Amino acid sequence: MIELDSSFQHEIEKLEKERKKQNEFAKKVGYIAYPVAGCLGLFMWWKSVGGFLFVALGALISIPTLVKLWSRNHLTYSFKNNLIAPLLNKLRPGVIYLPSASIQEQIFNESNLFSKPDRYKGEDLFKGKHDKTLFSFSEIHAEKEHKSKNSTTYSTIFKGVFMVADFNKHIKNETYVFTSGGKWFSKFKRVKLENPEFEDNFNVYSDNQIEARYILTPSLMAKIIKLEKEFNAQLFMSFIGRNVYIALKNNENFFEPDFSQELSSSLVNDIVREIDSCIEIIDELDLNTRIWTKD
Amino acid sequence: MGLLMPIGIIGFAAILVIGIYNSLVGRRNQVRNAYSSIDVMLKKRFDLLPNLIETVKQYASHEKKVLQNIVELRNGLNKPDLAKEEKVALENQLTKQINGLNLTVENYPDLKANENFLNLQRNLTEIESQLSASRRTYNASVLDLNNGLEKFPSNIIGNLFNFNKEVFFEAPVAEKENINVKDIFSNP
Repeated sequence: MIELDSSFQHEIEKLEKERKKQNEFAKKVGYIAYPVAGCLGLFMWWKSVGGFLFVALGALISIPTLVKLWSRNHLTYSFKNNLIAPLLNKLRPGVIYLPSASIQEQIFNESNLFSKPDRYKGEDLFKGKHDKTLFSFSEIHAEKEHKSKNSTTYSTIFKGVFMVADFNKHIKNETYVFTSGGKWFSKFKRVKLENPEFEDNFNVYSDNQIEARYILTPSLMAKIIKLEKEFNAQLFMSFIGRNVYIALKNNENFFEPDFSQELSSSLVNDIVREIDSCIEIIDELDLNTRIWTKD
Repeated sequence: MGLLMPIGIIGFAAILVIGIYNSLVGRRNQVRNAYSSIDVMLKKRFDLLPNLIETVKQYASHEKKVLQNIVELRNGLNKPDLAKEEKVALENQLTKQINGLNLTVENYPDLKANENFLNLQRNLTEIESQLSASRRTYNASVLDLNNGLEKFPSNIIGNLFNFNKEVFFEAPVAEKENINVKDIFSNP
């Protein structure tokens, strides 16, 4: 549990007051909007009228939800910018937090782990240097577009935390680790490794069998198994150029507070812990060990 | 019409034999290729040794015995017509000696601070890691070939065309114990 000094405690109290105020306001809006909508509905039924009144009825019903959404967004913005960002700056001085930015689509595509998305969005970008390793990670939602005559729909390619970090060994080829799927019908060949648990959970593809094993040492394989279990997510990794790309596919919304409960220091602690656990991936994968020829 | 059936069967069998034969040749070549990549790494390490010996000699005169052993093993490896098994045994001994040398380097702070030595350490670690990867690749290729030579029906084709099973590369004791390279070399 992190110790929060008085200025952060004060900020939490301020946000909690704001949260209560906005909840009250949303409730009041509901108290007014729903009865009015009820009366309007009765009137329409009694007079058997419709038309633009339907639009008005719809608007009345959706007003409380819209107010709630607006207040959530407003609170989230304050929570991230006024509390988490300065707190992280204090706890992890080398880390920059940009709540509305994300990993660039180009970097996501460079990882070559997923097909190119048609719709791409993200938030909560963290970047910096952890000991000797440069890294950045953010939440990403990448989707594929499906067009039919009447409508356009989207299916999710990837949703979760996406990280790129400086890898600690020189690599010239490309190696991929997939929880599911793989690089079929390509220049990449399946790499069979010695760890049975790893083989059960992951498919490794590479265009160089030796380099794949140079990267995936027995100890790294054990660490990857542990990492996937800890995050309870599907893990995808690629080792290309200077970097390792790590994608943790999970439908959870990371780094977001739950505004239905009271804002407290334990909630802040949970969010910071979540951020820390992502930064600690670098330690878990031993990326700071620089005993090979790469500095 | 009556001939079509036997021709078909013979044709199918011929395609099957050719397919299995080619697959076995592919696997055997993969083993040879993997073995040659081990050789490349061993050669790299071999070339690095004189430099290492010279650097360590200046600072660690008490390590004469280990250095002498390394020189002798290196000379042994230099002999022409060395059998594969002999070579593997010498290389494994060499690995053991190099690791032993680096464990005692802790006692020589001047050496530990030497830029040239630090560079050599990193290069050696790199080569050892690459070597380990090459050995594992070789073993995976041997497993693939041996599986082909034991499973039905490829075992029949294997026997027919005199394919031989290959022997796995025994990991040196140091690797079996899974020593972290961090433990072998004190962190710079």
